[in-house]
Amino acid sequence: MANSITKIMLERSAETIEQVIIPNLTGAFALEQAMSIATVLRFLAPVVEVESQDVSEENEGMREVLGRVLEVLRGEEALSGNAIRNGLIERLDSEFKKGEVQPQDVREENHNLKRILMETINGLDALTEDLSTDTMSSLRQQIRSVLRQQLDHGVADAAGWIAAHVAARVGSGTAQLPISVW
Amino acid sequence: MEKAQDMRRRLEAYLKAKFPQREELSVVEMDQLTAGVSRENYLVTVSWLEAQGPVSEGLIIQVELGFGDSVLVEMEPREFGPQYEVLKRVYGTGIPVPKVYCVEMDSAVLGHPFCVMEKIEGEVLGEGYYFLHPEYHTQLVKDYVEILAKIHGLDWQTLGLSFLGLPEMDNQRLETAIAGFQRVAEDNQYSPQPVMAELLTWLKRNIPQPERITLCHGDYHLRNVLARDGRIVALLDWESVHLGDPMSDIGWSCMFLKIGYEGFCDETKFLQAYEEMAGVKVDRERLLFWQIVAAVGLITVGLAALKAGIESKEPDMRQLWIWPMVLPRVGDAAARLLGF
Repeated sequence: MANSITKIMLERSAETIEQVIIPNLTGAFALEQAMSIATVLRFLAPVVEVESQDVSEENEGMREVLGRVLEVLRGEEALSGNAIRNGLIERLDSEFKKGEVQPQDVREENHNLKRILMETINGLDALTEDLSTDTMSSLRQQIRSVLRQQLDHGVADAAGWIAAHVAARVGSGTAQLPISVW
Repeated sequence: MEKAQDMRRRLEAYLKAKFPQREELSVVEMDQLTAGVSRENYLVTVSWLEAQGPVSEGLIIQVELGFGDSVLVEMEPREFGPQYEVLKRVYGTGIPVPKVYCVEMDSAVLGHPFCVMEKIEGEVLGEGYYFLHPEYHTQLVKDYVEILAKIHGLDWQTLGLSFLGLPEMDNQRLETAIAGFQRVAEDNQYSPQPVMAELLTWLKRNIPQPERITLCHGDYHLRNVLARDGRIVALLDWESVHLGDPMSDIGWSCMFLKIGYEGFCDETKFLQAYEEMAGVKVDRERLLFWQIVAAVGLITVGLAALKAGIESKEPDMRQLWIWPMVLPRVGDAAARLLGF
């Protein structure tokens, strides 16, 4: 977790790039590179703690929906010979057991859960014709609500990047209006 | 620095051989520009002697880097030459494009194939030009839509553009592209993309048949357009040019209007203006499909660029922050179109 010293260090580094390095650069490409480093530092400074909280929320949401998928698939006994269904059950089971045995770093867990969520989305798509429309629709809705949560966090981060870039441009005296999103 | 000087020397020797009528030609300035993910762009000023004295000219050198061993090559193999052949043939049709002087396929000269073209003076429309010049806004929107309608109205057969290859009517190329997008999503070890997986499952089940085939720019948005004195003076970056469903260009352009250029033109007005200028109705269902393709395509390019930025020994730092800023907005826009 970031502390205030980390935040100050990152901000001071950005200021050094903006005020000492950038004014002494002449090439457009070099200037953009320095500006990019300042933007990255400006973005990192305030968000580390917030991100950590977002990531924990996402993990909770994904565990819940993946647990629900596991429960539904286990209940589909008529598909006991279906390799996709069985593979997905095995994958989800193994991930949940891994979490029980050894607590994972919150970011590492987020990474793993997103990967499994991808596999689950693809697996369920392949099972569309085998599961009832109601079951598919309900699972899809739950998955989409978890995806929405992740998108909201991502969009908030994106706003943070824009603010960081604006700050870097203003700090180096190279601001132009409006600063486009990319 | 040494690399830049070596490149400058090699380029000067090349241009001297290409323009023998330009006496004592020399490269007086060379600056790497900031644009371009799959290629490096350089602004080069050359000078030479004519009877009335020294003359100088700005040139753009586009060095094609390709995507290295990225999955994009496999997904959508791109050749270097065809885009410049298209530029040569489109030049003079009323679509503002730079004049291509020469295309060099021999990698021995600069390390990669490259193209030498005219430098057109102007500002990037997507970098605030329209905002800083509100008096030109209406005309710029009109130009922007009109150029797209003109591209789609070109008689590509008469222009001899069949070499671009006709898309299969059974949409095989689209299915291949979607499979490529899926591979990028699955192979990306830095940032798993469940949203992309959801978008891809929707795409696979909703592939439409094209109603007509036209020339498509393939990357039509405000950052590929230059403006000067209130008019659009150049449309750049034709590397994705192809023959296909014009809805792909419209969907691509609409996606950009959604993720940061809302202030330039409202999507409804854009579509209405296009329909008037092109004289065709935009099928909203097919447009939805192509907007999702645009979103997935942008995410794919972003992931590949991010990967390149992380793994490169000489990374372009912009790739490390631009894409984390853009990708969530693209995913968000696409998800909203599909109702989540």
